[in-house]
Amino acid sequence: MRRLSTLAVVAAALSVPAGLAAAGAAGPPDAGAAPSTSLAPETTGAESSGIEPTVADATGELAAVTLLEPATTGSGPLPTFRWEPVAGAAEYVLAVLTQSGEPIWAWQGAETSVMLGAWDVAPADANVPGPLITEASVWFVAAFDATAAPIAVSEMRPIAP
Amino acid sequence: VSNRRISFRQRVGAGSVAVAAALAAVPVGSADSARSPAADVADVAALVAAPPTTTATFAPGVWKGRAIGTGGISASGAEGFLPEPVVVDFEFSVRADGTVESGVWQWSGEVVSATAEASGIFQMAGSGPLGGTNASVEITGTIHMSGSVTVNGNVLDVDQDMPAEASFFASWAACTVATGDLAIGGRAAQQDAGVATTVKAPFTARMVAGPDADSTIEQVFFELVTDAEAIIAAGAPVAGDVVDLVLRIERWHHELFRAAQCGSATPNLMPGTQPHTYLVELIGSILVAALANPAAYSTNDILDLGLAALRIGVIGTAAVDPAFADQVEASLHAALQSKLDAAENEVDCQIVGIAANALGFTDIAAGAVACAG
Repeated sequence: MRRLSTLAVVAAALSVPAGLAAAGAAGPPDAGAAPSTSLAPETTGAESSGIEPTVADATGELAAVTLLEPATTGSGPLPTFRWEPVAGAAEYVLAVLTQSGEPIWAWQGAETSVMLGAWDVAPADANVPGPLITEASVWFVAAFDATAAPIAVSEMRPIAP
Repeated sequence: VSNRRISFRQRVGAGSVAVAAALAAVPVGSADSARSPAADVADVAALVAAPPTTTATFAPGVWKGRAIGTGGISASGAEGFLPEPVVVDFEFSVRADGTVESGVWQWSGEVVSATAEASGIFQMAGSGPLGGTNASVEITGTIHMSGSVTVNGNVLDVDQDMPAEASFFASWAACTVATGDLAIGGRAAQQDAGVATTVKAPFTARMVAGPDADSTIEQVFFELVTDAEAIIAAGAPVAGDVVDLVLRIERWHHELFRAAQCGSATPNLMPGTQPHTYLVELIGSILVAALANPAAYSTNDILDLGLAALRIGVIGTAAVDPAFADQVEASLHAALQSKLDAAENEVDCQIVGIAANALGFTDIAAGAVACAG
């Protein structure tokens, strides 16, 4: 498929549903740029807050989903993703991709946290089948209401094992 | 009977009397005509109920096991044996608190009894529930025996039920595998009663599903394959059905992995060489067939199908078959592009944008920018 080498366009497209082209995402693809730079120039690099949302707030059409965990580094191969509930959300979509845009895993559900692979308990065996975080990647969450219409979407946050 | 009795005598002479008393209350024939075969059976039945002690327990989960019963008993000139080994199948669930529930056992076989003056041969069949705890599994139920006994030349028909009562435990258990002797309690009781016994019923059991599973790994696998094939045969699957199937496959994969961690899971669960990824490939086939006609699906459906494909590993970095992943990915891309082309409102564009970003279709994601703008 047609994937670009940076997340700039991905982030831009993700922001579009809200009608907002993020400042860091509206420019042309930059193959050499670091994800954090391409995605959100305003980020402070603080692990707890991550990258500022690139969508929605300015237009008010889509709210921002606030991502909580994992931290942007040191997540391990099988992190648990967690975000704040969105008022009116009936379902969330989580997607995890490599920084080059290769999809790693996706999930749908009503919960506001999920372990990569949807494991309910972390497997003890290191040879876990299925998706793993083995390289610098990104993830985002979108919220849908009961009619399956999007109502909020998060930033594209970096994650590294 | 005569031939079997000769065989029995030979076994006695060889020191390998084979009696199934511990398993099913084998009639130990008595020369005393006042004692009926049923009484003999009841005597032996009472021998199988000794409460055993144990150091191993069955872990929470669904267990399936099989015992092979052999051996014999003898006392006061009366002897009995199983002319052929009998198979005892059992299955039960162990709850997190160690309680055994939903257990069943069953066996059937032939039992021969003999004394100097009498001999009998019986068809026996037993079944019933299992209960108790994971440290001492309790057998109850009914044993039916039918046949004949010859006493001093008189042939008497026997056809009766008797209660089964016994218990067993795992003498060794490691994660999802356990071994033991189904007859251990009965054998101890027989010895306490002065009955010589060689009765054994060694069993192996393995955990076939986790505590929350409602069926065995093999059974669920069969159901998943059957359901997937039915969806394929239907031709135009409902997106929700595909997503539901993906979630069931995911749960099954997790159960299988947990079982395999202790090496008890079979590498393949159907005859042939297909790996566990067989189910993932079935999902891929369903998607390719469905996405051939994207007009039959809503934009949300395409989102759901794409996410399901990524979740289960049909596509993405964890895809089990990269070549097939490319094919499915191409189908998803074409379907999503068609939805972008046909988008009628901002919500459609938003959904396409989210799907495109999740699936890594940056060209479509970029198109969604214009769509929404």
